[in-house]
Amino acid sequence: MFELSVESPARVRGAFSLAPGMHAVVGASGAGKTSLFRLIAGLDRSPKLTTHWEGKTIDTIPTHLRSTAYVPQRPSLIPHRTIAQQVEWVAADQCGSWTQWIDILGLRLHWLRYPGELSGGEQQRAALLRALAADRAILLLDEALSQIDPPHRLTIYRQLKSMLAPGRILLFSTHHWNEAETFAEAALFIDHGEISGPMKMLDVAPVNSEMAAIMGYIGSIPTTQGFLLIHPRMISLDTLSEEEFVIPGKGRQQRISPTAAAYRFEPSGSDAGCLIWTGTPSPGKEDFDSITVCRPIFASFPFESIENN
Amino acid sequence: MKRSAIFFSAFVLALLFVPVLILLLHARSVPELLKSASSIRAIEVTLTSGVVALAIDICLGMPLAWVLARVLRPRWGRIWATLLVIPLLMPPLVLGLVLAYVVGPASPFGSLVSLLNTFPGLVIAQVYESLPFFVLTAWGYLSAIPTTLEEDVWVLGKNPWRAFWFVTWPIARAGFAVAGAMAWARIVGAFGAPIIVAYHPSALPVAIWIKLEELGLPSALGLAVWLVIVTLPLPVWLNWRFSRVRIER
Repeated sequence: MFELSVESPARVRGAFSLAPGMHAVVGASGAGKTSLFRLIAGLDRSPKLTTHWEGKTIDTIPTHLRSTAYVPQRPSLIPHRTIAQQVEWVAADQCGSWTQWIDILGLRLHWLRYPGELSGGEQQRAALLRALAADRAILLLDEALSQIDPPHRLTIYRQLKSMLAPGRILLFSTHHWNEAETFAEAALFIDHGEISGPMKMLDVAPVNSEMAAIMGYIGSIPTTQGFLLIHPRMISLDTLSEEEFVIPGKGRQQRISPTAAAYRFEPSGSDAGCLIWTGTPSPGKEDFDSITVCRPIFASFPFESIENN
Repeated sequence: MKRSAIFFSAFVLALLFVPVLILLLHARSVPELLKSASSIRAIEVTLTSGVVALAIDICLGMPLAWVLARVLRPRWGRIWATLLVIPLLMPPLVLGLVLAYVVGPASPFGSLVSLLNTFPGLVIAQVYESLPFFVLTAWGYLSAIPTTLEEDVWVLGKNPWRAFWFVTWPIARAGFAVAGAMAWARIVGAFGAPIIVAYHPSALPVAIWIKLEELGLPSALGLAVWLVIVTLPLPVWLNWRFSRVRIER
């Protein structure tokens, strides 16, 4: 169990505790994800910071003695050492098995090269390998896979999740909500430095409009129960069951590829802007006069997507 | 435009090389000087005092440059830089006068052991003339090495000492080498302070001055060739070896 509590003057504020497992830190760029990671790793200190790992305070423990390994978003490899040299140097004090990751991360061919000879994505994979070789109980990945192409990135996340040892924590930050949703057990949200969560992925719901935007909501409609938040996955053009919310209006779809259609819907009788989303095509419904919202979520705040403004 | 720029640069380089060419014209008298005991003694004194002074510069200057670049907060850096520039800019003659007062019989320290006109006195004068150059040069190089290079391995469990040797030293040593080259050039060329603190044993610059006074310009120029022969190889080699530094990534 990792616990942290922090207040001003640090750049992030809030308190949370994390159980072992793979968790996500989600927030817009500049929200404070990196600041949070630096506090956990011990690189930055703050007078109002308390951190505990397995019940013991770690506030005064210097960075190199902590149970954390941290991979920043920027390039972090040593420029004048080959990948082999630096990974083996970091692994020298550890007994964990990391050599299988050389092939998983596709670094066999680059093993004897210098970081400057690798592409951005390859450098990120090598930095991840180096952190895995450090074999720490808490692995912090600060958008550390951002330059890797999506298919490889998903494979790496999947491997990281399946090979995470019991009792360990993997905390990764991303602004791709689908990555957090797919691989994290819980998510922390950071908005302008305010930390909230962790929320279990199974019952996660947006607490403010920034979070709604990151999670892919496209708008809201005022109802008597509050603001109905609308996500493309909730929308159906057919009426399905009783747990639904039918909104009348004027809509239109346009096919944009064999598997996708662009939708546009103007709800009638409200001043909410029109809803725009991309979804699977609905044959025979080029024009429609209502949408059905399944599993509705009501919020206390209105939400309007930036795209719709 | 480009052609005239090249022409202009070539002209400036040629101007800078005129003294070297004139010295080479006097190279004929070089072997003769080795027959004179005083010339050989001056070369010996220059090399031995120079090596000792350089060693002192390195021992004192490397830790100081490290503290300035890594330990102190950056906003204090300007104050320290100013403090270092003052001895750097002090006229060597003035520095010599002050040192002669401190190590000579006029001061409480010097009245116990006067170092005037001794080998240690010469070394002290050389160190005072060269140390600020060593520190400022090394500091400049060290500050250009991002601290994140070290941070990025602390967070993987490497302590600062091991991080320094594996990550920073291979880059920093080039800076120390160039700083050493600068200091060496200052040490063997030191004249203003040594002529007052240590007229004897005379190192080459003072010996050249004595030759000029006693025998005139041509023999002084012969000894000056020796000074260049003694001075140049180390800094030229160090510059050649370490001038290409890569810290970008």
